[in-house]
Amino acid sequence: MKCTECSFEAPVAKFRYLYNARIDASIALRQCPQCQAWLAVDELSGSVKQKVGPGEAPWGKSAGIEGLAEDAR
Amino acid sequence: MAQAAKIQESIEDLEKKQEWWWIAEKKRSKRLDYLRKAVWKKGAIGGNYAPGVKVDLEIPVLFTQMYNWWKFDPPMLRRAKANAHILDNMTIFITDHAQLVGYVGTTPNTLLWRIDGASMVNEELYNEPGVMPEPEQASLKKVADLNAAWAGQTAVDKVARILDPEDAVKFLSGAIGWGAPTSAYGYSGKDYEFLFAQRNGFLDIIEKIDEAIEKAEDRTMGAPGPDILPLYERLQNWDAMKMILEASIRYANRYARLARIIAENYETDPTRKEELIRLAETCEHVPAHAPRSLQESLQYDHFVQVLARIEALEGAWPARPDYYHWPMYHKDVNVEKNITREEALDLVGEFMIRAYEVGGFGPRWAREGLQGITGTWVWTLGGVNKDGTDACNDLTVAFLQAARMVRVANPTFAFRWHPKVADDVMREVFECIRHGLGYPSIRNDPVLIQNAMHWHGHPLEEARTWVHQACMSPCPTTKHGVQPMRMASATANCAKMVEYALHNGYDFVVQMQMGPKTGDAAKFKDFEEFFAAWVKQMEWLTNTLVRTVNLGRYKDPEFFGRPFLSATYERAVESGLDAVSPVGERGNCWITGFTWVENADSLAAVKKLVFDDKKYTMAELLDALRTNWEGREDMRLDFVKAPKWGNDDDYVDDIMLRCLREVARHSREIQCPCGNTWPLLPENVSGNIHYSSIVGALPNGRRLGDALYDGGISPGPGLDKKGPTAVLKSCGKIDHVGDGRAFLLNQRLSPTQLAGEKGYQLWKAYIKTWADLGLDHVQFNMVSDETLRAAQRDPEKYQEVIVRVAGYSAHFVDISRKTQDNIIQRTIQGI
Amino acid sequence: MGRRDEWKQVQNSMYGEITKARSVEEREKVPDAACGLCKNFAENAYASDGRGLCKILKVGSNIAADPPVFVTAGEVGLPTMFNTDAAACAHYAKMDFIDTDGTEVADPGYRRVQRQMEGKGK
Repeated sequence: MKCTECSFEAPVAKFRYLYNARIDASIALRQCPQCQAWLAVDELSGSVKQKVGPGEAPWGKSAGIEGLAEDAR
Repeated sequence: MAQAAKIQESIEDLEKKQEWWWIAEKKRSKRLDYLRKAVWKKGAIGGNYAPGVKVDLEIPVLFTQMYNWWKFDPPMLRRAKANAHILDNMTIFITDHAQLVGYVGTTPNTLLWRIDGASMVNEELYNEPGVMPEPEQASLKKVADLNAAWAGQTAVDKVARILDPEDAVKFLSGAIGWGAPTSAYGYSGKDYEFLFAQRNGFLDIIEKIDEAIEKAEDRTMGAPGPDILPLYERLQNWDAMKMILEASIRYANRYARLARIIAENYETDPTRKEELIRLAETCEHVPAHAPRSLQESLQYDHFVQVLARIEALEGAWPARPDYYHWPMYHKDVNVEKNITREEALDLVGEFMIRAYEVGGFGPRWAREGLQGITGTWVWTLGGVNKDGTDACNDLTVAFLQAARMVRVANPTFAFRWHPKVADDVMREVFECIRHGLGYPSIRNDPVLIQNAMHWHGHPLEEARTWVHQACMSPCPTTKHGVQPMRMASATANCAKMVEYALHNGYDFVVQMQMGPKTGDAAKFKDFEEFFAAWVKQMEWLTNTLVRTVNLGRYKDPEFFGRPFLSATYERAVESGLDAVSPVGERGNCWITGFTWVENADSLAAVKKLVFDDKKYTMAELLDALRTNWEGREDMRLDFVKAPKWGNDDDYVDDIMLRCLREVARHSREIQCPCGNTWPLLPENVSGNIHYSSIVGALPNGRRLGDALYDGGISPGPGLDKKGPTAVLKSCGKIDHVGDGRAFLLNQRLSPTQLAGEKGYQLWKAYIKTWADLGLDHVQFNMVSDETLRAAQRDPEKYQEVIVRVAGYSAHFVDISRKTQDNIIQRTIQGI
Repeated sequence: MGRRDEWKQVQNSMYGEITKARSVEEREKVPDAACGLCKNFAENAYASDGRGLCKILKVGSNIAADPPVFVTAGEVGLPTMFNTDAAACAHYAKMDFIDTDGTEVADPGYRRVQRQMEGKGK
């Protein structure tokens, strides 16, 4: 898988697994070990769907993952 | 006139937008608005304290000085002297416009640090970012010196040294449970019957202690014999109780003096001057004497709570304010008309704010498990009187109305519903929920009274006095029913039961053989073998945790002890024993079951896909779990689609009942130090998030890192796909009396659907179904996804949005991102 | 050795050297090769005072000894602290990054929230 932010390339498992968007969907949040960006990953295809952008406030990291994680099949 | 119309117009506009927090600001009095905004938020943001919140170093220094000085005194006396030294010397303050006083720190932004609780918490404090008072270097030096003085000498150090070393190591791994086996941290019940119903002020109690001393001395000065020997120790305890009560009266008098100094020398506003004089008179009267007015009643209660919290870091706030403060409210507002209802509302609102203010430095696991708050201040409202009649009154309504105006996340309320509750009270309850507070939670009073009698043998009249000991567990407020200390180390991370059954007792996260070796799961021939392994792991896990608490309780009078708490307990005052001694207590223990439903869902998925359909082998499953489902997404989704709890599906619901009944059986085999039972109480607070990277991948389709379910018997977020009635039907299959002590159920409802009168009628019908099915608990989130996502995007604008997390509420901006997302993932049920 | 003695040994290693009272200077120092910066360190989620377990070395190891003692067989990992000097440890492997975000929750593999670890994220 290739990080869309810094182009770091490695097997999916090398990207730090954070947590799922929904348990019944294949979207999960992972972190690039090189640039530390949060990435929304399609676990079925093993590809990055988009960057997840943390905000500046310590409590609210506006992820913007809404709409990405529909019920799987 | 025109301005009032404008405000009304703007309120209507805000109601349409459901921005209840702005409405609260407009509706509350100027005093409440000031007090609400002036208060420092002590709950952690995720796991960190808010900027500006600092640890109080004055109190641990005062305590250590005097505790070391009296090193040869018996435990309770030594502690009483050291705590009295704090009360006589700590800095005190009065907040502008306040009518109630008392705080656990020396300035409003400080956290109490009980230095004698646990060395590891003291070390954590040293390493904690942001909490050291300025100048930081000097504070670090002071903390390092204090920690060196207490290293190995705290209550937890002492318990850990005598626990079986295997239990100690496994417990401290952090994998199977949390809490601490000491009354230095925990949930302490208050003997409200003794203090409020019997109207005992501290001087009245001192009189009782003097009588007990006189009686004992008649014996110790009489004919010698073995029966008088225990009295020598008890006499020292009575001295300790008396000493701390006297110091508490002096502490209150210090507030009186300060109020008079301000009034006479500094205050220029004549109205405020009068208030300060009244405040001084109040503190001169209570806690020394029983209260004569609502203000004195609330102040007395607050003093008791603060004094108990200066003595120990209490993590809960068992209370029933509408019941115990009703006599003084009724006298002041209805009979003598000394104050108006609006003035009473101001006092009630401030009473909540003063509780919200209270905070102590808690270990990180507690902060992460109770994100946004400092403890579970769940106050009980409603319910029945001892004779079974409706106990709701106008003060019940006043608390519900004040809550909507001050909108604090702590305390929250739990409402004891019963069939005789009047419709106007239910409407007030609903208004709080509709305003997005997440509270009150609704408790089924008839079911829980029966439950208290079933599990712990509380007599009917006593069971009817019950309050929430923490988030969920009912406990009477009577002489033998009140529980001095619920030690939270019987909090089980239950998902480990099924995890260990799969991995032969081995924990791949902490890399340790934890549970018994129940066999290589790949060799299990059928589901029954797997289930038998689960039962053994369940028994091991609950036994291990309960052993820590039992030993902690048994040794606590020696290792920590509670002179102040003892002095407020009828049975301790009578016996001369520490309140935490199991002697004289009926017993009211429970095992908190975090991460419980994962067991049923995981067992069902294995039964379905491995043993019934044979789509996967157990070896394949184990391999997928040990690699966190990496590269097995198709397989993981199959396990997600297996039958799930909360859909009225007997395939999985029957497994849930089997699990619960195995625990219920075992709950009677294990005993508390009072000889009573240890029933299970499934609920989570935000422990489901704290444990998310500690519980490995599970057969319900969850990966290591994913939030666990939100708790109790709530279905997995988004996995309850058959609607609210199916959820209630699944939960209704549980016997809410015999299967456990209580069962938490979270539900999300649509704020749009529940708008207006139609919304209330829909909700009322839902509650009727809930009650008919015999459920004991339900709580609601009624904030839309749109609002919550907007709050994530723009937290500054949504500071006051409150959500129900699990057994408590929190401001949405104070919980971690993972917790926020977990709440949004919960299904919004259309009813 | 009996069961109790075996576990006593583990317990002693959890309470012994690593939790001894130390000066401010000792507490503040984070060596360049500290256990907390190693991939094999798992932070304890109960006592978040910076203690953890090594995922490779087991109880009986001593990385401060000269020469160091490496025991890799056993049922319990070696207790160690985030700022224990691991320069002499043959198994030390620097992490790509550590997570110091205390507003999130326990993550034994990645997170190090001690004040002294601030700024060592990379």
